[in-house]
Amino acid sequence: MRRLTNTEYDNTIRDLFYGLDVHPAEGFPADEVSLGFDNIADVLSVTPVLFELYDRAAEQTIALALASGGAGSVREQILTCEPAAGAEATCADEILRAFGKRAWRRPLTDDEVGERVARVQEALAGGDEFDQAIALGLHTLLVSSHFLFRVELDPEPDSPEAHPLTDYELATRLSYFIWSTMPDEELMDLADARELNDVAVLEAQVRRMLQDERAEALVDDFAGQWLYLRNLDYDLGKDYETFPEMDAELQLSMKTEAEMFFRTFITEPRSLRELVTAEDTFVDARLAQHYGLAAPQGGGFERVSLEGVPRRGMLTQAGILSVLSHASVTSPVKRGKWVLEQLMCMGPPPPPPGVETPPPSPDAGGTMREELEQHRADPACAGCHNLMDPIGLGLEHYDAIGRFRELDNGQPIDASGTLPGGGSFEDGLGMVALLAEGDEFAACTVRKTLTYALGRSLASADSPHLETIVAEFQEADMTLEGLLTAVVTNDTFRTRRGEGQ
Amino acid sequence: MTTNEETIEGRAWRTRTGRSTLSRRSFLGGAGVMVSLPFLEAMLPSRAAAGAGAAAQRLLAFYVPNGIHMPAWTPTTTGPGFQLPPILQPLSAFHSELLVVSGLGNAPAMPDGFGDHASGAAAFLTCTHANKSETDLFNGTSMDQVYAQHIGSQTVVPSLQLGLEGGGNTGNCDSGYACAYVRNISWVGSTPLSKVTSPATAFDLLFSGYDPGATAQELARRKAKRLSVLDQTIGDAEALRGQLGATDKVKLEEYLDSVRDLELKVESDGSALACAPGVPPGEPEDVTSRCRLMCDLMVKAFECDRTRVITFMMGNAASLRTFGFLGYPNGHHLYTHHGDDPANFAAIQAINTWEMEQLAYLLGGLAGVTELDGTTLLDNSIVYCSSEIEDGNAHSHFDLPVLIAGRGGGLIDPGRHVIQDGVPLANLYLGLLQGMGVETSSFGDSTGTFVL
Repeated sequence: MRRLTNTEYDNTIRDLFYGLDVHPAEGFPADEVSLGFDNIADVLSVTPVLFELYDRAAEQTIALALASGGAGSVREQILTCEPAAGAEATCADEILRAFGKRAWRRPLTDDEVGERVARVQEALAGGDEFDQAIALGLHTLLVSSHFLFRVELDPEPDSPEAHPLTDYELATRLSYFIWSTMPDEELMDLADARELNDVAVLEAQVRRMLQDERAEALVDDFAGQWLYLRNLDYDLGKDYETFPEMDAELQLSMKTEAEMFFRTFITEPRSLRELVTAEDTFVDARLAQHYGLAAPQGGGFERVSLEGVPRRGMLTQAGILSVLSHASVTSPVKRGKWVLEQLMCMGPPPPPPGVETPPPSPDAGGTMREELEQHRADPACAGCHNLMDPIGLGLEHYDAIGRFRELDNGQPIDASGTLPGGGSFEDGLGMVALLAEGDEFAACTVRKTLTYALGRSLASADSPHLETIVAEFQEADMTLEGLLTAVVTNDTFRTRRGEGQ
Repeated sequence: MTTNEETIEGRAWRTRTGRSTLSRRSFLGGAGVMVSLPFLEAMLPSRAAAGAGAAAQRLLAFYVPNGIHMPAWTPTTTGPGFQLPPILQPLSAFHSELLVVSGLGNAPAMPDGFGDHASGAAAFLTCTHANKSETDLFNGTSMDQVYAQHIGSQTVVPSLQLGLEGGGNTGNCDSGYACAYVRNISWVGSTPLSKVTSPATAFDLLFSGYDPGATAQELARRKAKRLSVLDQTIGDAEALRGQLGATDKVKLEEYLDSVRDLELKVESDGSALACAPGVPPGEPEDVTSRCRLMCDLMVKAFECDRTRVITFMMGNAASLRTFGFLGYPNGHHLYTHHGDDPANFAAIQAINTWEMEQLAYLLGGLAGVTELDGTTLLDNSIVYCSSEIEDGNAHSHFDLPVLIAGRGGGLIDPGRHVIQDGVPLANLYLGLLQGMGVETSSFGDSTGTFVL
C-alpha cells in the first residue's frame, strides 16, 4: 500500500482526464519526506483533511470533465456510450469498467463494477440525469483505496518468501518510477497479455519510456530531489547588497540550466559520470555573463562547450553552488557534506550540540580556509570536518552565487585537498575528475535510484541486488538507460514479499 | 450503511518493529494513559462539557520555530502587572490577557543523539519521545487531539491544522529524524496530521458546501449521494483489509478512519452556518499577508463554531525562512545558532518580535468577536504559544518560552508571570485538558496537574 504522492496524484489525474487542465494537489498538505524523497511509503498516510480534499478534487474534476464538449473531448473519452432508455445499466457498466481499469491500473472484478452500477441506478431512480448518476459512479472510483494507493497484494501476507508481482503491479511500479504517473495503454496491453515480466520486454519498455515526454518526471522528481534542483524553486535569500545581480530571473536561469543538463542523460547515451565532469552546459545571456562566456546568438538557451572555462559538470553549475552557500559567503561545509551524502552516500554525523556556528562574517578578514582551520584544530570536530571541509574547499573558486573567482578576501585561493578513500586534487576540476572515477559515486547513484524506485529504505537483504545493479550499470557504460534497466529487471523490483511474523 | 462501532474497538496492529499502533479513534492520551473512548459517547453532542448556554472553550496552539531569544522574552518581574519584555511589546494591548510561564521543561523532547528540532517539534504537544527513524514513525497523541476527541462531533470540523511552510526544500530534515517530525505538531498516535498551508484550501475545508440558495430537498439529496460514495469507499477498503500484511493494514486503517471522519462530517452538516464566512481568501506570496489571512480564518472558524481546535505552525522546525523584509536575509535557523554574536541576537529578536506582532493580530481578531453571552472569543479561548526549543544555539528543552493568551472560559486567570522551575510541560497540558473537561489523570510524562 503506497499512497500516491501529490505529484503522482496530479499526474495521474492529468492522464486519466487527458486534456483537462487541473492540478488539485497543489492545495493538498505537503507530502512527508523521508530519506530525501517524497515517495517513501512508510511515512505517507491519509489524514481526514487529505481525504476530504481527495473527495472534493474527485467531484470537481469529474464535473469539469463531463461539462467539456466536442469531438475528442474529455467527456467523449470517458462517456463511451449513449444510454438507451431502460438500458442505462449496460452503458454505466461499460463506462465504469473501462474508466475503472485505467484508474485502478488493473481490471475490476464483476462485483466491483456491479456494486457501482447499482448505485448509479439508485441515483437514476431518485431522479438524477444520467450524467449526474454516472458522475457518482466515477466518483467512487477516484476516492477508493484502489486508486489512491498503489496496492500490491501478497498471496500469503505473512510469508516472507519473495513472489513475482502481477503484470499489472509491475506495470504500475515501472510507470510510477520512470513517469511518476499511471501506466499507459501499451503497458496495460502488455500486462493484459502477461508479457511484461520479461527482461527483453522490460528493456524495450525502458527505452520507449525514456523517449516519452512523461520521462520529464525523472528531472522534476528524481533529480529534483536527489540533486536538489527543487531547492531552486524557493527564494535562496541571497544578500542583495553583496549580490545586487542575483534576482528571480537569474535563479530561474540557473534552474533551467540544471534541468536541461540532466535531461541530456535521458535523451543521450551519456555516462552519468559526466554529471560531474561534463565539458558542456546550457546558458542563456544572463548565465553566459555569469560564467564569462559569450552570449548565445539567438534568445534563450544554447548548449555550449566549456573548453577553456574552469567549469566541469553540475558541481560547478551556479544553481547547486548557490543552494549550498550562505546568503553572502560560501559554505564549504554544506558543499562538502552534500557531496558526501548525495554523491558518495557517506553521510557524516551532525556536529555536537552548541558548536554549530553562524556563517563566517565576510568582513572578518582572512580566507574561508583559514576560518575553517578552527574546525579541524578541535578534535571534537576534526573527525567529520576532515572529510567534509576539503571537498567543500575544493570548490572555493566559486562564490556564493557560483561566479568564478581567483581571490578570497584579497588572497589567492588554495583549493587543494583530498577525497575520503584517497586521492588528492589541486582544485575543483581535479576533484570532480577523481570523484567521477571512484566506485563510491557509481554505487551511490544506484542506492539513490533504488531507494526512489522502491519507495523504501534499503536493508541488508538488498545488498546482493545492489551489487548486481552496480555491475550491470557499469557494464552499460553508466548510462541512465542502463541504470534504469538494471533496476527494473532486477528481482528486487520485480518481486515482493510479505512481512513474516 | 456500514456500522461505525467497530472503529473504536482498540484494535491494535503490530508494526514491523513490534510496537503497538492503535487505530486513530481508539487512542487517547499520551504515553502515560490510554483510554478507550466509547464511540457513541464521543460522537453525541455533550452539552454538559461546554455548559448549557455557556460559550464553548476553544484551543489554539500557535507554534513558532527555532526557539526564542530568551533574554528579551522572559519578564524580569513576576506576578500580576509584570513588566513586558521587548519581544512581548507587540502584545501590550493584551497585557492583562497574558499568562507567561517560565521554567517548564519537556524532557521527552530530548533527542537520541542529535536532532533537537525534530524531536522537539514532535514532542511539542505530545510530551512523548519520538522514535528516531527516517521511516518508522512513533509518537503520542497530541494535547490538541485529546481535546478534539473530547469534543467529538459537536463541531463539523473536529480540528484544523494550519501552517505557513509546506514541504519546502528537499534534503534531509534533521539528523536522521523523518521530516514528518519537523513539520507536524498534531499527532494521533504515530500518525501526523499534515497541515494545510493554502488559505484558499483551508477556507474550503471550513466552509465548503455552504450554499444559502439550496432547498432542504436539494441538500438532503446531495447528502444522500455523498454518503453513497463514502459507503462504497468503506466497502472497498474493508474488502481489501483481509488481504494485507500488518504494515499495510495500518495504512488502510488510517485511510478508513479518514473516510469515516468525512462520513460523520457529511452526516452532521447541513444546518446553516452560525455566521457568514466572508469571501474566499487568495494566495498571497508575502509571508505577513499570508499569516494574517490564516489568522482571519482561525478567528472565523471559531466565530462560526466550525471547529474548536486549531494548531498553527508559523514555520517548520529549523525553519530556514529568510527575513529580508526585516533586514535579515539569512535563514532563521542560521541566526539562531548565534554563537553569542550580538548581530545574531538582534536578528533573532527582530524575528521573534515580528512573530509576536502576528500573534497580536490574531488576538485582536479574537477579542473583536462578541459571543451570544456577551463574552469575547478571546475570553473563551486558550491561545498557547511556544517553540520546540528554548534557545536556538543551546538547543535546550528546559526553561521553555511559554505564553498563554485568553481566559479559556474562566479557566485561566491571566495578566501574570509565574515561574515553575523544573516542572514538566506535560503538567501544564494536563491542567489545560482537565480544565476543558477531559477526564484524564495523566498526560505524557506528567507528574501532577499544573494549577492554572
